[in-house]
Amino acid sequence: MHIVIDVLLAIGAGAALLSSLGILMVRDFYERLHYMGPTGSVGAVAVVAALLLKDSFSSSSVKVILVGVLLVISNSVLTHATARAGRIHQLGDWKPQKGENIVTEKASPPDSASRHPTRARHSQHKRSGK
Amino acid sequence: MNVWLITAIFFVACLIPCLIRCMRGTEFNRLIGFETGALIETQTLLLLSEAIHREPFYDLALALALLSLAGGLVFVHFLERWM
Repeated sequence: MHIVIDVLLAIGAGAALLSSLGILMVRDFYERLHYMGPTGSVGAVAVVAALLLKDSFSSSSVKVILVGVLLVISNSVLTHATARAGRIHQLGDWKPQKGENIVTEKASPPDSASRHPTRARHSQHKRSGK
Repeated sequence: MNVWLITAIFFVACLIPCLIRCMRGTEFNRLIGFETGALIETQTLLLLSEAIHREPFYDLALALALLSLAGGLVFVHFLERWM
């Protein structure tokens, strides 16, 4: 059991190191946002799992689980909100702009495939040669 | 010195790049450093509580997890609306 706890703590520490070095090294804003992910998802789950294994689901385990759930939720929510705010700050709107080459449902041609969104995406990929 | 304390010290060391990021770059890049630092800090408090065998200190980590989510959203809203 001690080995499992040590491995989980090492995973958490590695995720924290990857995140902290990633946000320092990477130059682009959106790429830098991705480096919030390891410590908020993998690292948090690993640390919480190590604590649960150590305490064998005692009375304080509820708090530990709650902290883990909050960390996972806040990581995803804050990443999305920060990316959205950065895009609004940069472009004035978070929706796809002209010339960005982002395929949307509205942009698909009004043929028979437009009634089936999945088929429309497939046909657009075929037309673009991807 | 147990393994929990060693890991907590390592997590505190991981806060240094977040601190540097908070001091450099544009306001959105600083916000990323702040949010990542809050995530790491919450796990550090969990590890320290276990290292010094003070289970009531889990409440600190719980409070920080709640407040960092709310604080991050307030910062994001401010930057999106007013900057």
